Amino acid sequence: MIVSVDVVLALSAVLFGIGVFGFLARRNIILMLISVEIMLNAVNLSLVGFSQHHGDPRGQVLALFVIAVAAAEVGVGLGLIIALNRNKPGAGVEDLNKLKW
Amino acid sequence: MLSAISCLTARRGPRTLPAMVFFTPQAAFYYMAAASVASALLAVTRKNPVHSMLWVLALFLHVAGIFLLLGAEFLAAVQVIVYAGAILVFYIFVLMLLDLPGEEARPRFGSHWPFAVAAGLSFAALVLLIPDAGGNVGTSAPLVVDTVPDRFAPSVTGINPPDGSVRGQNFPSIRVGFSEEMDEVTLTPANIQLIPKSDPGNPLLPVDIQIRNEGKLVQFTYDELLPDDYQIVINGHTVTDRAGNALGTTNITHSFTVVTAVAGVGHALFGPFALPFEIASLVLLAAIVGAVVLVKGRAAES
Repeated sequence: MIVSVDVVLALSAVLFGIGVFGFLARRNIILMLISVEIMLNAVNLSLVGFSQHHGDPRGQVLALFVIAVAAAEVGVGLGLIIALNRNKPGAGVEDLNKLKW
Repeated sequence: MLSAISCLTARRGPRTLPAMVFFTPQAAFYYMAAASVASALLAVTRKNPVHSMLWVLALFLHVAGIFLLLGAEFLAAVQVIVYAGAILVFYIFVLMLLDLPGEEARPRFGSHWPFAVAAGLSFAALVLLIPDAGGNVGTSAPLVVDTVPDRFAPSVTGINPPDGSVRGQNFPSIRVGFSEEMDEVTLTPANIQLIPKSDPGNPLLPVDIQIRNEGKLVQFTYDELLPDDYQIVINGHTVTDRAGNALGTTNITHSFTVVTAVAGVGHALFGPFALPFEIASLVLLAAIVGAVVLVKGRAAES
């Protein structure tokens, strides 16, 4: 292992924090979704780091499944965005307040 | 660190130019780490969504590089093909399709953005400050209260890789778990041998030995395991627990096969993970159907 697992986990935590910030702060719904992708990448990074640390291939297989679920999430998420855009053009989350009490 | 670098350059022979010394795997890792953090930050702060997407592309490629450095070749390829190739193109496609005029004129963050900064920072801090739960032997010795003399023989609870399994050569380590805390001086490469089938006379020597869980788990890491059949032989007489009870009277043997790294992922996916793999394909199928229904729905009715 070229670097300690702690370094990989720290990098993963920082990337996840950036993703959390992006998801909460951005107003564009597409950029909110891409922030989720940043978070998923951070999780994959920590899975691969743990996999190397423990010398166990299961972490890499799990990261592969995370990628598969991310692909499914993108398909449904962007489908929802297109369906929403048909009703109400634009991608700002503030405009989507129909269900707000 | 310096000695490790000089070792590395010495092993590679005559290429000991001073400039080459700095291009180590560690340097490459830290470059990729810094670049991925920078591109992630730029991705969530750029005003133009297309610029954000391009910075996310840079992030994905750098993370793929980190995967390569961490010995996950297959994942690095999947990262480039699926993430940077398919998923990101899908995002950009939808972004172009929606055609968002005036997106740059609008504020990029909601008015609550300081709270989002606090949430991101506190999440990263929370993860960074969690103490090491890996059970690595640290400064504190385990508290042992002996009221009854320990006369029970320990046993082997698990060996990784499992008996008869196949694994990729990017995991050059073996782990042996025990039912009791073992005497650490008996957990040596002489007592727990890893023997390649093509060269049975020469057991491999580990480059690193880690004892975890207060002595219940030992991990031997080797320089490299070439694709071959291997046998782990644990000497039952000489491996003892802290009270001196031996494992048994016979040797414990255990065999596994090492293949190339990508073949190792394939063996895991189509072996123990065959069912989850099929379920993942079902999830993808359901997502495809869901996306088609969501996007098409109203047009079909009218």
